[in-house]
Amino acid sequence: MAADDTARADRQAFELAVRAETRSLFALAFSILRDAAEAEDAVQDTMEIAWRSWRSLRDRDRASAWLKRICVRRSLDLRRNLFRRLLLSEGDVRDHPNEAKLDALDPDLDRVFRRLSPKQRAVIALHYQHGFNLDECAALMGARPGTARSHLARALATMRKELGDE
Amino acid sequence: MNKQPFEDRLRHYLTRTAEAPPAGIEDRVLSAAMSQPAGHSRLVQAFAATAALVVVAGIAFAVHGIRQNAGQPSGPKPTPSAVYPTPAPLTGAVSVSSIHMITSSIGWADGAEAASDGSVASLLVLRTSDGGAHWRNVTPPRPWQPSSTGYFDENSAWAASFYPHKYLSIMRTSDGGNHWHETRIMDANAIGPADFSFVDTNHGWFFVSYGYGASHEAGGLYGTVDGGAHWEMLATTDASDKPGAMPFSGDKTGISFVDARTGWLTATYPGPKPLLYVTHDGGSTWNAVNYPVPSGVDLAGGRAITPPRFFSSTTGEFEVDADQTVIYVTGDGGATWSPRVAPDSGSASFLNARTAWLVSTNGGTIYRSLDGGLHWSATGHAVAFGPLQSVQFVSTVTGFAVTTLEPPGLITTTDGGLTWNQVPITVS
Repeated sequence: MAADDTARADRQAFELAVRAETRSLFALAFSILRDAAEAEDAVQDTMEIAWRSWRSLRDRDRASAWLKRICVRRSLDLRRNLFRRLLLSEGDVRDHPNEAKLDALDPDLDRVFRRLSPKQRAVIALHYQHGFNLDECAALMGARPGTARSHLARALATMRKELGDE
Repeated sequence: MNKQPFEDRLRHYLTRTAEAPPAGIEDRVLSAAMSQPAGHSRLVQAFAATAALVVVAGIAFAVHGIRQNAGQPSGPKPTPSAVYPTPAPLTGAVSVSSIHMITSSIGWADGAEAASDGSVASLLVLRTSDGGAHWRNVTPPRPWQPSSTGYFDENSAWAASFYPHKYLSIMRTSDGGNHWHETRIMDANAIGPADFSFVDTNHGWFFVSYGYGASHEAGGLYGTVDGGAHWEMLATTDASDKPGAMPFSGDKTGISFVDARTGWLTATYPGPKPLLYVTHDGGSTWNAVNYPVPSGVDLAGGRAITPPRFFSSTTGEFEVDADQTVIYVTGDGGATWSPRVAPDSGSASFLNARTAWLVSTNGGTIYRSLDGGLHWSATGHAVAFGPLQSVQFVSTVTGFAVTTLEPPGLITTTDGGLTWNQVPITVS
Protein backbone atom coordinates (compact mmCIF):
# COMPACT_ATOMS: atom_id res chain seq x y z
CA MET A 1 0.00 0.00 0.00
CA ALA A 2 2.82 2.38 0.86
CA ALA A 3 4.44 1.72 -2.51
CA ASP A 4 1.13 2.37 -4.27
CA ASP A 5 0.74 5.64 -2.40
CA THR A 6 4.24 6.69 -3.35
CA ALA A 7 3.67 5.84 -6.99
CA ARG A 8 0.38 7.75 -7.00
CA ALA A 9 2.04 10.76 -5.39
CA ASP A 10 4.82 10.63 -7.96
CA ARG A 11 2.36 10.61 -10.82
CA GLN A 12 0.36 13.47 -9.35
CA ALA A 13 3.48 15.57 -8.74
CA PHE A 14 4.75 14.86 -12.24
CA GLU A 15 1.40 15.74 -13.82
CA LEU A 16 1.39 19.02 -11.94
CA ALA A 17 4.89 19.74 -13.18
CA VAL A 18 3.93 18.94 -16.78
CA ARG A 19 0.89 21.21 -16.64
CA ALA A 20 2.88 24.00 -14.98
CA GLU A 21 5.98 23.87 -17.15
CA THR A 22 4.97 22.70 -20.62
CA ARG A 23 4.10 26.10 -22.03
CA SER A 24 7.30 27.76 -20.81
CA LEU A 25 9.34 24.81 -22.05
CA PHE A 26 7.66 25.08 -25.44
CA ALA A 27 8.58 28.77 -25.56
CA LEU A 28 12.19 27.92 -24.73
CA ALA A 29 12.38 25.18 -27.33
CA PHE A 30 10.68 27.24 -30.01
CA SER A 31 13.05 30.14 -29.53
CA ILE A 32 15.96 27.81 -30.28
CA LEU A 33 14.38 25.62 -32.93
CA ARG A 34 12.09 28.19 -34.63
CA ASP A 35 9.76 25.36 -35.56
CA ALA A 36 6.59 24.51 -33.66
CA ALA A 37 6.58 20.81 -34.46
CA GLU A 38 10.22 20.38 -33.50
CA ALA A 39 9.65 22.41 -30.33
CA GLU A 40 6.85 20.08 -29.30
CA ASP A 41 9.16 17.13 -29.99
CA ALA A 42 11.77 18.70 -27.71
CA VAL A 43 9.24 19.24 -24.93
CA GLN A 44 7.97 15.70 -25.27
CA ASP A 45 11.53 14.35 -25.13
CA THR A 46 12.16 16.49 -22.08
CA MET A 47 9.17 15.15 -20.20
CA GLU A 48 9.92 11.55 -21.16
CA ILE A 49 13.45 11.92 -19.86
CA ALA A 50 12.16 13.67 -16.74
CA TRP A 51 9.56 11.02 -15.99
CA ARG A 52 12.16 8.30 -16.22
CA SER A 53 14.31 10.08 -13.63
CA TRP A 54 11.48 11.61 -11.61
CA ARG A 55 11.98 9.50 -8.50
CA SER A 56 15.68 10.29 -8.44
CA LEU A 57 14.98 14.03 -8.33
CA ARG A 58 15.56 14.65 -4.67
CA ASP A 59 14.62 18.33 -4.56
CA ARG A 60 11.28 18.80 -6.31
CA ASP A 61 11.55 22.55 -5.74
CA ARG A 62 14.28 22.53 -8.35
CA ALA A 63 12.21 20.65 -10.90
CA SER A 64 11.53 23.76 -12.97
CA ALA A 65 15.21 24.59 -13.45
CA TRP A 66 15.99 20.92 -14.06
CA LEU A 67 13.32 20.63 -16.75
CA LYS A 68 14.50 23.83 -18.45
CA ARG A 69 18.04 22.54 -18.63
CA ILE A 70 16.95 19.25 -20.13
CA CYS A 71 14.77 21.10 -22.62
CA VAL A 72 17.52 23.46 -23.75
CA ARG A 73 19.96 20.58 -24.07
CA ARG A 74 17.48 18.55 -26.06
CA SER A 75 16.64 21.50 -28.30
CA LEU A 76 20.31 22.09 -29.03
CA ASP A 77 20.75 18.40 -29.78
CA LEU A 78 17.84 18.47 -32.19
CA ARG A 79 19.05 21.63 -33.86
CA ARG A 80 22.74 20.84 -33.93
CA ASN A 81 22.45 17.37 -35.32
CA LEU A 82 20.52 17.17 -38.51
CA PHE A 83 20.86 13.47 -37.91
CA ARG A 84 18.40 13.77 -35.11
CA ARG A 85 15.86 11.31 -33.91
CA LEU A 86 12.61 11.81 -35.76
CA LEU A 87 9.71 10.96 -33.52
CA LEU A 88 7.10 11.38 -36.19
CA SER A 89 6.81 8.58 -38.63
CA GLU A 90 7.10 8.78 -42.35
CA GLY A 91 4.42 10.62 -44.26
CA ASP A 92 3.62 12.92 -41.36
CA VAL A 93 3.81 16.25 -43.12
CA ARG A 94 4.39 19.21 -40.85
CA ASP A 95 3.07 22.67 -41.46
CA HIS A 96 5.11 25.77 -40.74
CA PRO A 97 2.49 28.43 -40.18
CA ASN A 98 5.01 30.70 -38.52
CA GLU A 99 7.07 31.32 -41.64
CA ALA A 100 4.85 34.03 -43.04
CA LYS A 101 4.62 35.63 -39.64
CA LEU A 102 8.41 35.76 -39.31
CA ASP A 103 8.83 37.25 -42.73
CA ALA A 104 6.23 39.91 -42.12
CA LEU A 105 7.70 41.15 -38.86
CA ASP A 106 11.38 41.80 -39.51
CA PRO A 107 12.60 39.86 -42.52
CA ASP A 108 16.14 41.29 -42.44
CA LEU A 109 16.66 40.41 -38.80
CA ASP A 110 15.01 37.05 -39.34
CA ARG A 111 17.43 36.28 -42.17
CA VAL A 112 20.56 37.03 -40.15
CA PHE A 113 19.20 35.39 -36.99
CA ARG A 114 18.64 32.16 -38.87
CA ARG A 115 22.22 32.24 -40.13
CA LEU A 116 23.60 32.14 -36.59
CA SER A 117 24.90 28.89 -35.17
CA PRO A 118 22.45 26.96 -32.96
CA LYS A 119 24.28 27.91 -29.76
CA GLN A 120 24.40 31.55 -30.78
CA ARG A 121 20.65 31.50 -31.42
CA ALA A 122 20.10 29.77 -28.10
CA VAL A 123 22.01 32.28 -25.99
CA ILE A 124 20.37 35.21 -27.80
CA ALA A 125 16.90 33.81 -27.17
CA LEU A 126 17.57 32.77 -23.59
CA HIS A 127 19.07 36.16 -22.72
CA TYR A 128 16.92 38.62 -24.65
CA GLN A 129 13.61 36.80 -24.87
CA HIS A 130 13.51 34.82 -21.64
CA GLY A 131 15.56 37.15 -19.47
CA PHE A 132 18.17 34.75 -18.15
CA ASN A 133 21.50 36.28 -17.20
CA LEU A 134 24.56 34.88 -18.92
CA ASP A 135 25.54 32.61 -16.06
CA GLU A 136 22.04 31.15 -16.15
CA CYS A 137 22.23 30.81 -19.93
CA ALA A 138 25.51 28.93 -19.58
CA ALA A 139 24.02 26.58 -16.99
CA LEU A 140 20.98 25.89 -19.15
CA MET A 141 23.14 25.19 -22.19
CA GLY A 142 25.62 23.04 -20.30
CA ALA A 143 28.39 25.44 -21.20
CA ARG A 144 30.77 27.55 -19.23
CA PRO A 145 29.90 31.24 -18.69
CA GLY A 146 32.79 32.40 -20.86
CA THR A 147 31.52 30.33 -23.73
CA ALA A 148 28.03 31.76 -23.40
CA ARG A 149 29.46 35.28 -23.38
CA SER A 150 31.54 34.47 -26.42
CA HIS A 151 28.52 33.11 -28.31
CA LEU A 152 26.50 36.19 -27.40
CA ALA A 153 29.18 38.69 -28.35
CA ARG A 154 29.90 37.00 -31.64
CA ALA A 155 26.23 36.65 -32.49
CA LEU A 156 25.53 40.31 -31.78
CA ALA A 157 28.57 41.42 -33.78
CA THR A 158 27.56 39.25 -36.72
CA MET A 159 23.98 40.49 -36.74
CA ARG A 160 24.92 44.14 -36.39
CA LYS A 161 27.47 43.85 -39.16
CA GLU A 162 25.12 42.12 -41.56
CA LEU A 163 22.35 44.60 -40.79
CA GLY A 164 24.65 47.59 -41.16
CA ASP A 165 24.02 48.59 -37.58
CA GLU A 166 27.63 49.10 -36.47
CA MET B 1 27.50 52.77 -31.60
CA ASN B 2 24.11 52.91 -29.91
CA LYS B 3 23.52 49.52 -28.41
CA GLN B 4 20.05 49.87 -26.97
CA PRO B 5 17.94 50.30 -30.14
CA PHE B 6 19.37 47.15 -31.69
CA GLU B 7 18.77 45.12 -28.54
CA ASP B 8 15.22 46.48 -28.37
CA ARG B 9 14.71 45.47 -31.99
CA LEU B 10 16.02 42.00 -31.17
CA ARG B 11 13.72 41.64 -28.16
CA HIS B 12 10.79 42.82 -30.24
CA TYR B 13 11.58 40.32 -32.99
CA LEU B 14 11.98 37.43 -30.56
CA THR B 15 8.83 38.26 -28.64
CA ARG B 16 6.62 38.93 -31.64
CA THR B 17 7.71 35.81 -33.46
CA ALA B 18 7.14 33.52 -30.49
CA GLU B 19 4.71 30.75 -31.29
CA ALA B 20 1.85 29.89 -28.97
CA PRO B 21 1.95 26.30 -27.77
CA PRO B 22 -0.36 24.12 -29.87
CA ALA B 23 -3.66 23.16 -28.28
CA GLY B 24 -3.58 20.05 -26.17
CA ILE B 25 0.20 19.88 -25.90
CA GLU B 26 0.10 19.21 -22.15
CA ASP B 27 -2.13 16.16 -22.61
CA ARG B 28 -0.03 14.77 -25.44
CA VAL B 29 3.21 15.28 -23.54
CA LEU B 30 1.79 13.80 -20.37
CA SER B 31 0.36 10.80 -22.15
CA ALA B 32 3.60 10.03 -23.97
CA ALA B 33 5.79 10.50 -20.91
CA MET B 34 3.70 8.40 -18.58
CA SER B 35 3.29 5.56 -21.03
CA GLN B 36 6.70 4.37 -19.91
CA PRO B 37 7.95 3.08 -16.54
CA ALA B 38 8.69 5.79 -14.03
CA GLY B 39 11.45 6.77 -11.81
CA HIS B 40 13.79 3.81 -11.64
CA SER B 41 17.46 4.28 -12.15
CA ARG B 42 18.72 3.61 -15.64
CA LEU B 43 20.54 0.55 -14.41
CA VAL B 44 17.41 -0.91 -12.87
CA GLN B 45 15.45 -0.17 -16.02
CA ALA B 46 18.07 -1.66 -18.23
CA PHE B 47 18.28 -4.84 -16.22
CA ALA B 48 14.50 -5.02 -15.98
CA ALA B 49 14.10 -4.61 -19.71
CA THR B 50 16.80 -7.11 -20.43
CA ALA B 51 15.43 -9.60 -17.94
CA ALA B 52 11.96 -9.28 -19.42
CA LEU B 53 13.30 -9.95 -22.86
CA VAL B 54 15.08 -13.01 -21.66
CA VAL B 55 11.95 -14.35 -19.97
CA VAL B 56 9.70 -13.64 -22.92
CA ALA B 57 12.04 -14.90 -25.51
CA GLY B 58 13.06 -17.84 -23.40
CA ILE B 59 16.30 -18.14 -25.23
CA ALA B 60 19.75 -16.84 -24.74
CA PHE B 61 21.23 -14.44 -27.22
CA ALA B 62 24.01 -16.44 -28.84
CA VAL B 63 26.76 -14.13 -29.86
CA HIS B 64 30.48 -14.55 -30.04
CA GLY B 65 31.37 -12.63 -26.91
CA ILE B 66 34.09 -10.11 -26.97
CA ARG B 67 34.76 -11.17 -23.44
CA GLN B 68 33.79 -14.16 -21.39
CA ASN B 69 33.35 -12.45 -18.04
CA ALA B 70 30.57 -13.71 -15.83
CA GLY B 71 27.87 -11.36 -14.60
CA GLN B 72 27.44 -9.40 -17.80
CA PRO B 73 24.05 -7.99 -18.68
CA SER B 74 22.24 -10.40 -20.93
CA GLY B 75 22.34 -9.59 -24.60
CA PRO B 76 19.33 -8.40 -26.57
CA LYS B 77 17.65 -10.44 -29.22
CA PRO B 78 18.28 -9.26 -32.78
CA THR B 79 15.88 -9.79 -35.62
CA PRO B 80 17.03 -11.43 -38.84
CA SER B 81 18.70 -9.07 -41.26
CA ALA B 82 17.03 -7.63 -44.30
CA VAL B 83 18.83 -6.18 -47.31
CA TYR B 84 18.06 -2.65 -48.46
CA PRO B 85 19.10 -1.42 -51.90
CA THR B 86 20.24 2.09 -52.70
CA PRO B 87 17.48 4.73 -52.42
CA ALA B 88 15.83 6.79 -55.12
CA PRO B 89 17.39 10.11 -56.26
CA LEU B 90 16.71 13.24 -54.22
CA THR B 91 14.53 16.17 -55.23
CA GLY B 92 15.08 18.76 -52.47
CA ALA B 93 18.08 20.94 -51.62
CA VAL B 94 20.78 19.08 -49.69
CA SER B 95 22.93 20.37 -46.85
CA VAL B 96 25.80 18.68 -45.04
CA SER B 97 26.22 18.66 -41.27
CA SER B 98 29.44 16.69 -40.85
CA ILE B 99 32.04 15.00 -43.01
CA HIS B 100 34.21 11.93 -42.55
CA MET B 101 36.85 11.80 -45.25
CA ILE B 102 38.75 8.53 -45.50
CA THR B 103 41.19 9.77 -48.17
CA SER B 104 41.49 13.06 -50.03
CA SER B 105 38.95 11.76 -52.54
CA ILE B 106 36.75 9.21 -50.76
CA GLY B 107 34.59 10.07 -47.81
CA TRP B 108 31.20 10.11 -46.16
CA ALA B 109 28.93 12.89 -44.94
CA ASP B 110 25.86 13.25 -42.79
CA GLY B 111 23.36 15.34 -44.71
CA ALA B 112 19.76 16.42 -44.93
CA GLU B 113 17.31 16.98 -47.74
CA ALA B 114 15.13 20.06 -47.37
CA ALA B 115 11.41 20.13 -48.01
CA SER B 116 9.89 22.95 -50.04
CA ASP B 117 9.27 24.98 -46.88
CA GLY B 118 12.89 24.67 -45.76
CA SER B 119 12.30 22.09 -43.06
CA VAL B 120 14.21 18.82 -43.04
CA ALA B 121 12.39 16.30 -45.20
CA SER B 122 14.81 13.43 -44.73
CA LEU B 123 18.19 12.71 -43.26
CA LEU B 124 20.88 11.36 -45.51
CA VAL B 125 24.03 9.30 -45.66
CA LEU B 126 26.20 10.65 -48.48
CA ARG B 127 29.39 9.33 -50.06
CA THR B 128 31.90 11.01 -52.35
CA SER B 129 34.68 9.56 -54.44
CA ASP B 130 36.00 12.83 -55.91
CA GLY B 131 36.93 14.90 -52.88
CA GLY B 132 33.48 16.34 -52.26
CA ALA B 133 32.79 17.69 -55.75
CA HIS B 134 29.92 15.23 -56.11
CA TRP B 135 28.05 13.20 -53.54
CA ARG B 136 25.94 10.09 -53.93
CA ASN B 137 22.92 9.47 -51.76
CA VAL B 138 23.47 6.06 -50.20
CA THR B 139 20.91 6.38 -47.39
CA PRO B 140 18.89 3.26 -46.61
CA PRO B 141 15.48 3.83 -48.22
CA ARG B 142 12.69 5.49 -46.28
CA PRO B 143 10.79 5.02 -44.05
CA TRP B 144 14.03 4.10 -42.27
CA GLN B 145 15.67 7.30 -40.99
CA PRO B 146 19.28 7.55 -39.79
CA SER B 147 19.80 9.29 -36.45
CA SER B 148 23.45 8.46 -35.72
CA THR B 149 26.21 7.26 -38.01
CA GLY B 150 29.66 5.71 -37.78
CA TYR B 151 32.20 5.38 -40.56
CA PHE B 152 35.31 3.23 -40.61
CA ASP B 153 36.77 3.01 -44.11
CA GLU B 154 35.74 3.70 -47.68
CA ASN B 155 33.29 0.79 -47.73
CA SER B 156 32.18 0.23 -44.14
CA ALA B 157 29.61 2.32 -42.32
CA TRP B 158 26.88 1.93 -39.70
CA ALA B 159 23.76 3.96 -38.97
CA ALA B 160 21.29 3.85 -36.11
CA SER B 161 17.65 4.77 -35.81
CA PHE B 162 15.61 4.81 -32.61
CA TYR B 163 12.06 3.73 -31.95
CA PRO B 164 11.60 4.79 -28.31
CA HIS B 165 10.08 2.22 -26.00
CA LYS B 166 10.40 -0.40 -28.73
CA TYR B 167 13.78 -1.06 -30.29
CA LEU B 168 16.76 0.49 -32.00
CA SER B 169 17.73 -0.38 -35.54
CA ILE B 170 21.32 -0.62 -36.74
CA MET B 171 22.06 -0.61 -40.46
CA ARG B 172 25.44 -1.71 -41.79
CA THR B 173 27.07 -1.60 -45.19
CA SER B 174 30.31 -3.12 -46.42
CA ASP B 175 30.12 -1.98 -50.03
CA GLY B 176 30.10 1.79 -49.77
CA GLY B 177 26.39 2.09 -49.16
CA ASN B 178 25.19 0.12 -52.17
CA HIS B 179 23.47 -2.33 -49.86
CA TRP B 180 22.49 -2.09 -46.21
CA HIS B 181 21.64 -4.87 -43.76
CA GLU B 182 19.50 -4.24 -40.71
CA THR B 183 19.78 -5.61 -37.19
CA ARG B 184 17.17 -4.69 -34.60
CA ILE B 185 18.01 -4.56 -30.90
CA MET B 186 15.13 -4.80 -28.46
CA ASP B 187 16.22 -2.08 -26.04
CA ALA B 188 13.20 -0.04 -24.97
CA ASN B 189 15.37 2.37 -22.98
CA ALA B 190 17.39 3.62 -25.93
CA ILE B 191 16.44 7.12 -27.02
CA GLY B 192 19.69 7.97 -28.79
CA PRO B 193 21.95 9.35 -29.95
CA ALA B 194 24.54 6.60 -30.36
CA ASP B 195 28.30 6.99 -30.62
CA PHE B 196 30.04 4.36 -32.75
CA SER B 197 33.67 3.25 -32.59
CA PHE B 198 35.22 0.53 -34.74
CA VAL B 199 38.81 -0.73 -34.64
CA ASP B 200 38.39 -2.90 -37.74
CA THR B 201 35.48 -3.96 -39.91
CA ASN B 202 34.43 -6.62 -37.39
CA HIS B 203 35.06 -5.23 -33.90
CA GLY B 204 32.95 -2.28 -32.93
CA TRP B 205 31.00 -0.65 -30.10
CA PHE B 206 28.34 1.94 -29.60
CA PHE B 207 27.17 3.82 -26.54
CA VAL B 208 23.49 4.66 -26.65
CA SER B 209 21.86 7.25 -24.42
CA TYR B 210 18.95 6.33 -22.16
CA GLY B 211 18.42 9.99 -21.18
CA TYR B 212 20.14 12.61 -19.11
CA GLY B 213 19.55 14.81 -16.10
CA ALA B 214 21.25 17.62 -14.22
CA SER B 215 24.78 16.25 -14.38
CA HIS B 216 24.40 12.67 -15.44
CA GLU B 217 23.52 10.58 -18.44
CA ALA B 218 22.44 6.97 -18.42
CA GLY B 219 23.16 4.63 -21.26
CA GLY B 220 24.20 1.25 -22.51
CA LEU B 221 27.28 -0.03 -24.29
CA TYR B 222 26.94 -2.60 -27.06
CA GLY B 223 29.69 -4.51 -28.85
CA THR B 224 29.96 -6.59 -32.00
CA VAL B 225 32.62 -8.99 -33.30
CA ASP B 226 31.00 -9.65 -36.66
CA GLY B 227 30.72 -6.19 -38.18
CA GLY B 228 27.34 -5.46 -36.67
CA ALA B 229 25.34 -8.52 -37.66
CA HIS B 230 24.92 -9.19 -33.94
CA TRP B 231 25.32 -6.84 -31.00
CA GLU B 232 25.82 -7.78 -27.36
CA MET B 233 25.04 -5.50 -24.44
CA LEU B 234 28.33 -5.19 -22.57
CA ALA B 235 27.54 -2.71 -19.82
CA THR B 236 25.05 -0.16 -18.57
CA THR B 237 25.66 2.93 -16.49
CA ASP B 238 25.44 2.43 -12.74
CA ALA B 239 23.75 5.17 -10.73
CA SER B 240 26.07 4.49 -7.79
CA ASP B 241 29.15 5.19 -9.95
CA LYS B 242 30.86 2.36 -8.08
CA PRO B 243 34.42 1.49 -9.11
CA GLY B 244 34.49 -0.59 -12.25
CA ALA B 245 31.05 0.47 -13.47
CA MET B 246 30.40 2.50 -16.55
CA PRO B 247 29.85 5.99 -15.13
CA PHE B 248 26.41 7.49 -14.60
CA SER B 249 27.85 10.94 -13.86
CA GLY B 250 28.45 13.41 -16.62
CA ASP B 251 26.95 14.01 -20.05
CA LYS B 252 28.70 11.56 -22.35
CA THR B 253 30.61 13.08 -25.25
CA GLY B 254 31.82 9.93 -26.96
CA ILE B 255 33.62 6.61 -26.92
CA SER B 256 36.73 5.48 -28.77
CA PHE B 257 38.38 2.10 -28.82
CA VAL B 258 42.03 1.47 -29.64
CA ASP B 259 41.79 -2.30 -29.97
CA ALA B 260 39.44 -5.10 -28.98
CA ARG B 261 40.16 -4.57 -25.29
CA THR B 262 41.09 -0.95 -24.64
CA GLY B 263 38.61 1.87 -25.03
CA TRP B 264 37.83 5.32 -23.68
CA LEU B 265 34.69 7.14 -22.62
CA THR B 266 34.43 10.88 -22.00
CA ALA B 267 31.84 13.11 -20.36
CA THR B 268 31.37 16.73 -19.46
CA TYR B 269 30.82 17.23 -15.75
CA PRO B 270 30.25 20.28 -13.53
CA GLY B 271 33.19 19.35 -11.30
CA PRO B 272 36.87 20.27 -11.37
CA LYS B 273 37.33 18.88 -14.90
CA PRO B 274 35.62 16.68 -17.49
CA LEU B 275 35.55 12.92 -16.96
CA LEU B 276 37.81 10.42 -18.71
CA TYR B 277 37.29 6.68 -18.26
CA VAL B 278 39.13 3.68 -19.68
CA THR B 279 38.30 0.00 -20.13
CA HIS B 280 40.85 -2.74 -20.63
CA ASP B 281 38.42 -5.61 -21.03
CA GLY B 282 36.45 -4.63 -24.09
CA GLY B 283 33.90 -2.45 -22.32
CA SER B 284 32.79 -4.51 -19.33
CA THR B 285 34.51 -2.55 -16.59
CA TRP B 286 35.51 1.09 -16.55
CA ASN B 287 37.82 3.12 -14.36
CA ALA B 288 38.35 6.85 -14.05
CA VAL B 289 41.58 8.22 -15.44
CA ASN B 290 43.24 11.18 -13.78
CA TYR B 291 44.94 13.72 -15.95
CA PRO B 292 46.77 16.90 -15.01
CA VAL B 293 45.34 20.39 -15.26
CA PRO B 294 47.94 22.92 -16.43
CA SER B 295 48.81 25.70 -14.01
CA GLY B 296 46.61 28.74 -14.48
CA VAL B 297 44.04 26.89 -16.58
CA ASP B 298 40.44 26.47 -15.41
CA LEU B 299 38.76 23.30 -16.64
CA ALA B 300 35.94 23.37 -14.08
CA GLY B 301 32.25 23.83 -14.66
CA GLY B 302 31.23 21.43 -17.40
CA ARG B 303 33.64 21.97 -20.25
CA ALA B 304 33.50 19.88 -23.38
CA ILE B 305 35.90 16.96 -23.87
CA THR B 306 36.55 14.88 -26.97
CA PRO B 307 37.09 11.11 -26.80
CA PRO B 308 40.77 10.19 -27.34
CA ARG B 309 41.90 9.53 -30.87
CA PHE B 310 44.89 7.25 -31.37
CA PHE B 311 47.29 7.40 -34.30
CA SER B 312 49.12 4.20 -33.29
CA SER B 313 49.00 1.77 -30.40
CA THR B 314 50.94 4.26 -28.29
CA THR B 315 50.28 7.80 -29.58
CA GLY B 316 47.01 9.65 -29.24
CA GLU B 317 45.29 12.85 -28.15
CA PHE B 318 42.12 14.32 -26.70
CA GLU B 319 40.97 17.89 -26.16
CA VAL B 320 39.24 19.86 -23.41
CA ASP B 321 37.48 23.09 -24.27
CA ALA B 322 38.80 26.13 -22.39
CA ASP B 323 39.57 29.79 -23.03
CA GLN B 324 42.61 28.24 -24.66
CA THR B 325 41.86 24.65 -25.64
CA VAL B 326 43.96 22.12 -23.76
CA ILE B 327 45.22 19.26 -25.93
CA TYR B 328 46.34 16.15 -24.07
CA VAL B 329 48.79 13.86 -25.81
CA THR B 330 50.11 10.43 -24.89
CA GLY B 331 53.06 8.41 -26.09
CA ASP B 332 52.46 5.38 -23.91
CA GLY B 333 49.04 4.19 -24.96
CA GLY B 334 47.18 6.45 -22.55
CA ALA B 335 48.99 5.46 -19.36
CA THR B 336 49.93 9.12 -18.97
CA TRP B 337 48.60 12.27 -20.63
CA SER B 338 50.55 15.52 -21.07
CA PRO B 339 48.72 18.83 -21.57
CA ARG B 340 49.50 21.26 -24.37
CA VAL B 341 47.77 24.63 -24.08
CA ALA B 342 46.69 25.82 -27.53
CA PRO B 343 46.93 29.49 -28.53
CA ASP B 344 43.15 29.86 -28.80
CA SER B 345 39.85 28.16 -28.15
CA GLY B 346 38.86 25.80 -30.92
CA SER B 347 38.71 22.28 -32.26
CA ALA B 348 41.85 20.45 -33.34
CA SER B 349 42.37 18.10 -36.25
CA PHE B 350 45.36 15.81 -35.99
CA LEU B 351 46.78 14.27 -39.16
CA ASN B 352 49.19 12.19 -37.09
CA ALA B 353 50.94 12.46 -33.73
CA ARG B 354 52.92 15.51 -34.84
CA THR B 355 50.93 17.49 -37.41
CA ALA B 356 47.74 19.20 -36.30
CA TRP B 357 45.50 22.15 -37.05
CA LEU B 358 43.39 24.21 -34.67
CA VAL B 359 40.44 26.25 -35.92
CA SER B 360 39.60 29.12 -33.58
CA THR B 361 35.98 29.43 -32.55
CA ASN B 362 36.51 33.10 -31.75
CA GLY B 363 37.73 34.40 -35.08
CA GLY B 364 38.18 31.63 -37.58
CA THR B 365 41.99 31.74 -37.37
CA ILE B 366 43.66 28.50 -38.47
CA TYR B 367 46.72 27.44 -36.47
CA ARG B 368 49.11 24.63 -37.37
CA SER B 369 51.48 22.63 -35.19
CA LEU B 370 54.25 20.38 -36.42
CA ASP B 371 55.35 19.08 -33.03
CA GLY B 372 52.24 17.48 -31.58
CA GLY B 373 50.75 20.67 -30.19
CA LEU B 374 53.78 22.10 -28.39
CA HIS B 375 54.06 25.08 -30.71
CA TRP B 376 51.47 26.64 -33.02
CA SER B 377 51.60 29.20 -35.82
CA ALA B 378 48.69 30.99 -37.52
CA THR B 379 48.34 29.83 -41.12
CA GLY B 380 45.10 31.32 -42.37
CA HIS B 381 41.54 32.43 -41.74
CA ALA B 382 38.14 30.98 -42.46
CA VAL B 383 36.16 33.68 -40.71
CA ALA B 384 34.01 34.41 -43.76
CA PHE B 385 32.35 31.04 -43.38
CA GLY B 386 31.24 31.54 -39.77
CA PRO B 387 32.03 29.08 -37.00
CA LEU B 388 33.33 25.82 -38.45
CA GLN B 389 32.64 22.29 -37.37
CA SER B 390 33.79 18.88 -38.48
CA VAL B 391 37.22 20.18 -39.46
CA GLN B 392 39.32 17.39 -40.90
CA PHE B 393 42.69 17.28 -42.63
CA VAL B 394 43.58 14.20 -44.69
CA SER B 395 47.05 15.35 -45.76
CA THR B 396 49.43 18.19 -45.00
CA VAL B 397 47.64 20.34 -47.59
CA THR B 398 44.10 19.02 -48.01
CA GLY B 399 41.43 19.75 -45.45
CA PHE B 400 37.65 19.84 -45.19
CA ALA B 401 35.21 21.57 -42.86
CA VAL B 402 31.51 22.27 -42.52
CA THR B 403 30.23 25.78 -41.98
CA THR B 404 27.53 26.33 -39.39
CA LEU B 405 25.83 29.03 -41.41
CA GLU B 406 22.39 28.16 -42.71
CA PRO B 407 22.30 26.07 -44.75
CA PRO B 408 25.42 24.19 -43.54
CA GLY B 409 27.89 23.79 -46.37
CA LEU B 410 31.25 22.28 -47.18
CA ILE B 411 34.51 24.20 -47.51
CA THR B 412 37.91 22.83 -48.52
CA THR B 413 41.53 23.88 -48.51
CA THR B 414 44.35 22.54 -50.67
CA ASP B 415 47.11 24.69 -49.21
CA GLY B 416 47.19 23.56 -45.61
CA GLY B 417 44.49 25.93 -44.38
CA LEU B 418 45.85 29.13 -45.86
CA THR B 419 42.81 29.66 -48.07
CA TRP B 420 39.37 28.03 -48.09
CA ASN B 421 36.77 27.66 -50.80
CA GLN B 422 33.09 26.82 -50.57
CA VAL B 423 32.03 23.67 -52.39
CA PRO B 424 28.47 23.42 -53.71
CA ILE B 425 26.74 20.28 -52.48
CA THR B 426 25.92 18.32 -55.61
CA VAL B 427 24.13 15.05 -54.98
CA SER B 428 23.17 12.40 -57.46
